[in-house]
Amino acid sequence: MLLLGRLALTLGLVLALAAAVFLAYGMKTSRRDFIRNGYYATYGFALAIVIASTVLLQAFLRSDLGFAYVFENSDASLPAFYRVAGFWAGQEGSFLLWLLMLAVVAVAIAAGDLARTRRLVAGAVMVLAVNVALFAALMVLDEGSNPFLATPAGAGSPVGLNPLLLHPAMVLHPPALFAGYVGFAVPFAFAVSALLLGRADREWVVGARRWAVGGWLLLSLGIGLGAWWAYVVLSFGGYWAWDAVENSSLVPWLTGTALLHSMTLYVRRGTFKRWALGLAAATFWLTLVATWTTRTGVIQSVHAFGQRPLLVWFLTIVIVAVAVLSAALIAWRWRCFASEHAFESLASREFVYHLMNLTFTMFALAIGFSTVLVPLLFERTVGPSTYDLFAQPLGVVTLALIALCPLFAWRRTTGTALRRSLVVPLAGAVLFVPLWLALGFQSNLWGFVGFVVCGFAFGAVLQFVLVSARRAAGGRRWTAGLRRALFGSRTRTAAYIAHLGMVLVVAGLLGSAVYPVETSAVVASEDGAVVEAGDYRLLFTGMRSEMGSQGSLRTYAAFDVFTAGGDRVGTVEPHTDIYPTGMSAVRAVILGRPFEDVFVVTDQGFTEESTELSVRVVVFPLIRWVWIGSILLCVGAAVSLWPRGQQQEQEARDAAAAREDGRLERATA
Amino acid sequence: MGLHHEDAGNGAARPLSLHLGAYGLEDGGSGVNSKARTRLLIATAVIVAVFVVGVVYVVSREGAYYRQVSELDQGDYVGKNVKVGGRVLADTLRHDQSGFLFDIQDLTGEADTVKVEYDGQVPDTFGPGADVVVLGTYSESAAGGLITASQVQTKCPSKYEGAGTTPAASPSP
Repeated sequence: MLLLGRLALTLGLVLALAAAVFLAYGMKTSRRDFIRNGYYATYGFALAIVIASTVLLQAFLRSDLGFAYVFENSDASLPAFYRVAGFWAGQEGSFLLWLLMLAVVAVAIAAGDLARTRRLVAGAVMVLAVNVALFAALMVLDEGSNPFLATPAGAGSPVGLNPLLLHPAMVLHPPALFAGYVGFAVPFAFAVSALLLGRADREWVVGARRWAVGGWLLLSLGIGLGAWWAYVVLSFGGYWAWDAVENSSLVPWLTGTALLHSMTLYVRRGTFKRWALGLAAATFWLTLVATWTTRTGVIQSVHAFGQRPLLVWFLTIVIVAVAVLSAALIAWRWRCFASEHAFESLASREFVYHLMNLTFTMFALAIGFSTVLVPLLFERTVGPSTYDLFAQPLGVVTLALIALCPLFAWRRTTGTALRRSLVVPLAGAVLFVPLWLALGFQSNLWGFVGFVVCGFAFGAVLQFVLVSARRAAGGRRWTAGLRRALFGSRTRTAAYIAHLGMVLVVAGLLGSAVYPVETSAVVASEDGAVVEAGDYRLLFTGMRSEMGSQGSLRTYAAFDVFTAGGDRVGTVEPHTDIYPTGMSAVRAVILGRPFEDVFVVTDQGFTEESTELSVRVVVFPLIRWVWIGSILLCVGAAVSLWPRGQQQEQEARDAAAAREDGRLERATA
Repeated sequence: MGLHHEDAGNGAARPLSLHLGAYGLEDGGSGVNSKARTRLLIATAVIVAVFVVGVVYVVSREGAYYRQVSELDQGDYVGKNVKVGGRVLADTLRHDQSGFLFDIQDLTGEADTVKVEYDGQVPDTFGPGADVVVLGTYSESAAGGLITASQVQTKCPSKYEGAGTTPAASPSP
């Protein structure tokens, strides 16, 4: 079985190289037979990778300990769900999963173009094939990246999965991130193809946009799941630690967000073409850097991947090559991808988008600089407080830009129009002030500014709907156009939902990061012991033990929770798992209240014999909004992805929308 | 295809538009548009400059030196922020009202140790023999080096992608 896996992987490598050569030649010479053969080779390497993946999957399902990788990441006592998750529990399987997703995407694109064999699409599939070939080569050559190695003799008993990872969110988090990265490989592939061919029309964006949106959706989901897992499982009282691994997934998300907006503008208005190319290249490049950061261990993260020279050099060379080639290609075709419209005024929606792209890019640069370059070049490191220093203002600026966007018309805006469109957003801002006061927030400048901007942005989303409704109504009352404004365009509906989600996320981040109330207390474990925590009182009521997962001894400490007014609002049972291996984990519990979470954890593990408990209670205002907002972001992306017949129809609608926008502006100007 | 855009004469007339800005000028350098473009470029340059200066300033002020225990007495780190990884020596660990006091040993095979003083919460995985990363201010006395820690993290036990840190007592979530 090990041999079959290795053979399949090697075959995949050879076929991917063949596909790349066929497609490159077919694209260069416009020979359709070569393109078609390249597509068949693409089916071939995908099949080989599917076989390799199946071999590894069955090894996990059967707990075949002859596989060194299975030996290190699974044990037979796990339920099937977690045995499958062992597949991507380590580096080797993660690479294979990534490869599998890339191959599936390449096949989907090739299959859709088999009848037409367009040069642009052939070029894109070629780039994906090269990508597959590179990583297949790495897996074949680098021992630490190959999941098909035999367990050395006398290796003892299997290591098993880390108990902290036995959580559904942690099972889904890595594949979601990888799928997100793979999604962003597609716009890069199409961008390279368009650059090679000098095709500055809309076709490459139309071909890549859905994949980019899908990638963005899954990356958002992955980041959200990771944060949620950290909050409910890691029990340190937070969801984001600005760890190098977390940061490296956030950075491509930021540039990816800017990319989605630039692609929309590219298709609808023929502007932001260079932004779209640059961001497509940058986002893909940053997913490679993310891999480099997490896998090589060069940046001293608390994540301990061994430092292996082959892997480090390989990834470093790939990263440098991609950067140099992308920059060279874009510079070569710079003038070809000029905007179709001249820039007219700073008081225009174009300028707001420009600022948004700048903000996201700089945000990404700042995090990347602090995470990778500062340790590497200056041998220094920055902590969470530093990241917060620029993340908080930038988060608020981002929201301010969402708020400003609908106030400005395309091309240029007059002062009168601007003043008129300010009414709804200002009302929204006023709406959020009582919320800020109601939460009893101490004077904190960022808190105040942040909440006002949240309100402003909330109003701006309504304003967006109103503006679209007025346009759609065409002279009649705006309510006549409401239906079309809300549901007329997938992209627009997606924008409303995602922007509302963003408002909630930022408000939730502000509330929970700026205003948490933390209390630590050591109490005796006897009935009647009380922990006073902010507006809450926790009354100890007893302990109990039971068998937990993976044969752990799980001990609960129960507390009744009362508000300041004396109402009992619930019971919390923070607990400790002690595993047969001697490893122990404390588990926090969270009592959800409408506007805040009461997070309860013990700082030390305990058993029923413990006479003292060190209890930590953190009240996180609005944290739930982060999760609701994240879900809305994903829903927004899903709405814009929802299939709607043929792609041609999509193109037609986009063109119509562009014409409509242009006409209405001229009418309103 | 596409190469016909590369018209040298056109480029020579408007050298600025060659390399700067996201917007091309299809209609030549007519007054209004070139003014708007200049404003766009200036605004962009100002924003980028402010931002770069801000980030560099913040990072240089807040950053801590990432060092091995054995490197601490080889440079001038007294009074500076340092971040040091090490193994907690079992027989040195004390825990009382004022907090934790323990020695950590170099992880690169050297015998050097440094004292750590810390009065916050420690993660559950903290204990004798644990590998930790300590962030704090370094000082030296006759008794040797001391790190007054503001943060103690335990090294993540897993090599699982995305398995986060367990930072203790970091004030912000």
